[in-house]
Amino acid sequence: MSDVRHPTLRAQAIWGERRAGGTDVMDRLHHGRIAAPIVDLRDVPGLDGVGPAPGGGLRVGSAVRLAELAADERVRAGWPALADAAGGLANPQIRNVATFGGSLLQRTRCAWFRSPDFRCYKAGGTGCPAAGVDHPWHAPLSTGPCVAPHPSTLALALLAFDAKVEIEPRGLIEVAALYGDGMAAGAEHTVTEEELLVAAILPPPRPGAVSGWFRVASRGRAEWPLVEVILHLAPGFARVAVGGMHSVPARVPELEAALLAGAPLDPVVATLAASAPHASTSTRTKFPQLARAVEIVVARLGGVPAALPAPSFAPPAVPAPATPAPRGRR
Amino acid sequence: MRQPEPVPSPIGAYARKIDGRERIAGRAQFVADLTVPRMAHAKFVRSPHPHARIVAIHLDAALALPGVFGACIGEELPKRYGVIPVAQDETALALGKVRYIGEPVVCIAAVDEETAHRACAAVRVDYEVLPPVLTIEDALDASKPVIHDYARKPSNVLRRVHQAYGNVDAGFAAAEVVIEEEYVYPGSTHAALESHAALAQVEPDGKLTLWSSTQNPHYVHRDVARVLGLREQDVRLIKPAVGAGYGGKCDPFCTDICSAYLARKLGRPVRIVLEREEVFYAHRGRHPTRLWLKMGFSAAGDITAIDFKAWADGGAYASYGVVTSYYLGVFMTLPYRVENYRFESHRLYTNKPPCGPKRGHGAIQPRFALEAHLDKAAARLGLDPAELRRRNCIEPNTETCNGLRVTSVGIRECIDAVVKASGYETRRGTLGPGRGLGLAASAYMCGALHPVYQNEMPHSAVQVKIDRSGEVVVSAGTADIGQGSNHMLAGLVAAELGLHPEDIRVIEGDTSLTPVDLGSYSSRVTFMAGNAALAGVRPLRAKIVEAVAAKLGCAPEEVRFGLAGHPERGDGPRVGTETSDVSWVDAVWLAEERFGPLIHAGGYTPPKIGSRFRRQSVGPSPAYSFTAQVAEVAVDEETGEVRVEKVWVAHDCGRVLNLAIVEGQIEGCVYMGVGEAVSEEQAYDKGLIRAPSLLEYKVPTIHECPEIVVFPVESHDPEGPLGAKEAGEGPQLSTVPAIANAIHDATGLWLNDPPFTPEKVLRALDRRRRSGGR
Repeated sequence: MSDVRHPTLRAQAIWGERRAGGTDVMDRLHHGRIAAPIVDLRDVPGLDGVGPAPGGGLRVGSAVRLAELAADERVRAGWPALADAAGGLANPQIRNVATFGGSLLQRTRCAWFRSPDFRCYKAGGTGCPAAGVDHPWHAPLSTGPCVAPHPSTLALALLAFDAKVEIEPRGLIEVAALYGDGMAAGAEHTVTEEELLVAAILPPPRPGAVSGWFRVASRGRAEWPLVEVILHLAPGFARVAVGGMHSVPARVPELEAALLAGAPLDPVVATLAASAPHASTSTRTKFPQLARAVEIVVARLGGVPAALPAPSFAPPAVPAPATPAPRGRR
Repeated sequence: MRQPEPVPSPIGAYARKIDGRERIAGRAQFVADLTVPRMAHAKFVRSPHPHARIVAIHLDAALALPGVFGACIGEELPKRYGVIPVAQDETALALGKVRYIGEPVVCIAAVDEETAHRACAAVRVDYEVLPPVLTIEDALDASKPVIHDYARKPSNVLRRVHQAYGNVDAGFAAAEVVIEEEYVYPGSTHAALESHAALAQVEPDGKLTLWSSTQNPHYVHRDVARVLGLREQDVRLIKPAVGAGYGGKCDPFCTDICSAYLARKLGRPVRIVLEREEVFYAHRGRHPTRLWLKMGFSAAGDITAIDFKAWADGGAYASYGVVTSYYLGVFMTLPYRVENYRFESHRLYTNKPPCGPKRGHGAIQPRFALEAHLDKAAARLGLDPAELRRRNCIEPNTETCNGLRVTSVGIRECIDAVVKASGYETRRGTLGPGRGLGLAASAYMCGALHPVYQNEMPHSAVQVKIDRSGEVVVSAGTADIGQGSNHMLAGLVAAELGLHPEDIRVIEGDTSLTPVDLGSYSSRVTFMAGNAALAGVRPLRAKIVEAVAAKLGCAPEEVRFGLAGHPERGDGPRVGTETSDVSWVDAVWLAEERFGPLIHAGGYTPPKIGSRFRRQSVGPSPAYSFTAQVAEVAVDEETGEVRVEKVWVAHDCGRVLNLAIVEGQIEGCVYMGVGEAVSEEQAYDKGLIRAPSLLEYKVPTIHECPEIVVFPVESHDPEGPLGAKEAGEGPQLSTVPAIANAIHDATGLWLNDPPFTPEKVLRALDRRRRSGGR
């Protein structure tokens, strides 16, 4: 067993591979992708709990379990897409131990990164051995050397809700700053060994806002998505955060503008596809899937909220419940 | 007063497995649960290259670490092995060359797994990298490097099989409709819950005991002894509880051979338990296969000819690949009548983990092509697909054009059952866009007629011992891997003796204590070991009958077993007549007094079925099982997602011995088929496994598993044990084509390359849109 420390003070919970639920860290341990001693966060105070933030928002501690997040009535009422996503990703076993912070800071799932025998760019080496291979598990819109999609679904929710994250000692930062541009070598985020992710702060719900989550996957559950979207819509306001397409969690402003303008989405995704740096035969299908996923969420939310022009496309007839049915994907 | 009921026959009942409780309670002992004093733990250094020459191996740094006991490399174990004698090309550790990413190169034993891991990381191996052979096209390209370059006739084609029966060209000439198409079937792996594991210990007398998680104790026993240069009689192989195999544990593995070798070399027991990622490297899964199929049909829908070619991408070693090359072709003459048939198959070497036998071995891929073809033909001919199949079904007691002797046949009953239950004939084509029904049928074997190594000995032997305590002990070399062969043996013996299956003690899978059985593969165990068990118990039953008849003064034919007991005497089942009887224990006493020890071993040797075709040595079976199924799917044309909603499956298993096990096996087959149809694929990026974990390798979860409605069909095979055949593999054959045909009903798309993932469905829809389709 690797060296494991159990600090009891936040200031000590640095210098090492931080472990909360351990669902990713223990997996990486097998593959030789844990270089430092493990710093277990179990006894570190102040990381748990969901509670009010100043100004009517919500503070979600980084050690909150995904299952707790999904079940929290305040989250369900004010930021439903976050609850849906937390309750829909992975499987019940993982959701019961994996944490919010762990979901945000998990490492890439790429087989080249996970194999102990290779040192790709994200493992501290150079280059991307996965580039040039054609399969749908790549991120066609990646701008960095790594072509793997960023694995965090909950980061999309934070982007869609304009949340901020609290990093000690750096302070409150934007989600975009948490992830950078995807060019970072050896990491998927910017949290250094001297820093600790403490919480995320969600701003108060906007009047008339609705939000939803949808993913396209080749297995209904316990799966990373091919494409997923989190939409946060209010009168005159749209956020579309997209997973499975980029090497960092990202919003797609072109889709947001199209929703606000009531414009059709297919030309938008076609334009994205045309200029996608890593488009291949297999990843090209992700663009129409992206448009459909956005349309499905819009339809589920009852359309783009009033005071906006109605969308020009016909919402597909998907009268699906917001919570997953006991069996089936929607 | 008697108890109201005699002992009910266990045959056909829905019964809990005799060893079910210990598994559910977590008490069953798997290799990873076994520890012995001074035991070392070993780990492997594996190849990072798909194809490379080993220049040097530097072990010094690893061996210098505290807690490291020792290591071994390929040169220490140079004898090539493999279950199929004509294709022994494997060594436990790479010898001279590595042939796939993940191939074991060094095995290191240490005080614990962590230390062994650390030692592996300290090993340096120098390689001279060679160009890899990664695809079927590469393997067929003579300009590419040869993977097994030491062979007498070096080639990346392990085996080519070519067979022709009847007059194929005349069959096509007589056809009204000829359909010719290519299919690509993906590779997939077994994903058994328990990983491969072995524990080896040298006994005080110098003999070796090896506990192995295996389906085939007999073959592992042979190869371990051969590679280590030991007499087989000095090796004892014990198969403890095994957490499934599905074909993935049919070969001897590096775990078996390295633990045995290191235990002798280091003088201490060695245990090796593979991690999940390593199980993907051990593989032996479904061969990715390219298929070309041409079929002719008369206007009425009779099959006039089949011409078929297959290229199977086998990975770096032969495993059972020679057998695969035959299985790809021989079952295409079932369950439909065809007089003119030709096939050519190739089993190829590539620089990837070796493929081998996965549930439905070799027959899954061509069955997908054939059944998809039949629906295409029905569409062209304007016939109902069920009717097309029915009119071509073979009859019982026939011989196929390629010399397969077929006894019992329940295929029509299977088709009728699922067509009726699913409403196929009225609902197909009416469910609206995005929803559809598909039908497919299939046939499979019940064990191979010929053993993998040439001999005339029984394929199965079962010893039954009954002693004066009343205990019945059944000993068999069978390997229960969760499929229920222990219960099968207990049930058959209990039925003969009027006892409950729980009253029978089964000892199995121990080469020193139990007679030889060839193992759990080819769906052979129920048929062969079941017959051997009946042959073992029936002479003992006859002795008990004679002794009891003499005691009671009745005719032997009047003696019944399992009579109701007398509660006031506190005894169990009784033996005798309606008017007088003795207790079970007394009956055994009487027999032992009269005849001496009550021990008998029965054997099963398949019948000598002469075929018109000498070359037909792989494929013939003493009996065949039959399946039909209807799948109902929902296809989301927006996202491309395919959801299998419900499957009706009817399987002719000959006779149901335990309904719970038969249903469980059939459901398991359908479940595995659903995975291969919609999500599973053992895919590679430049030789690296793309999904080396159960998070990324997409076996369906409970949410993706459809509702499965099972209809057992009983055709009572004349040679099966009490009429039984098999239920463990055959039902999987028709699942994927039923789903493919259902997708066609839902969308109008013919998809020829499973798994039917969202991006493939969308691409097909897009192609159709651009070509002006609906």
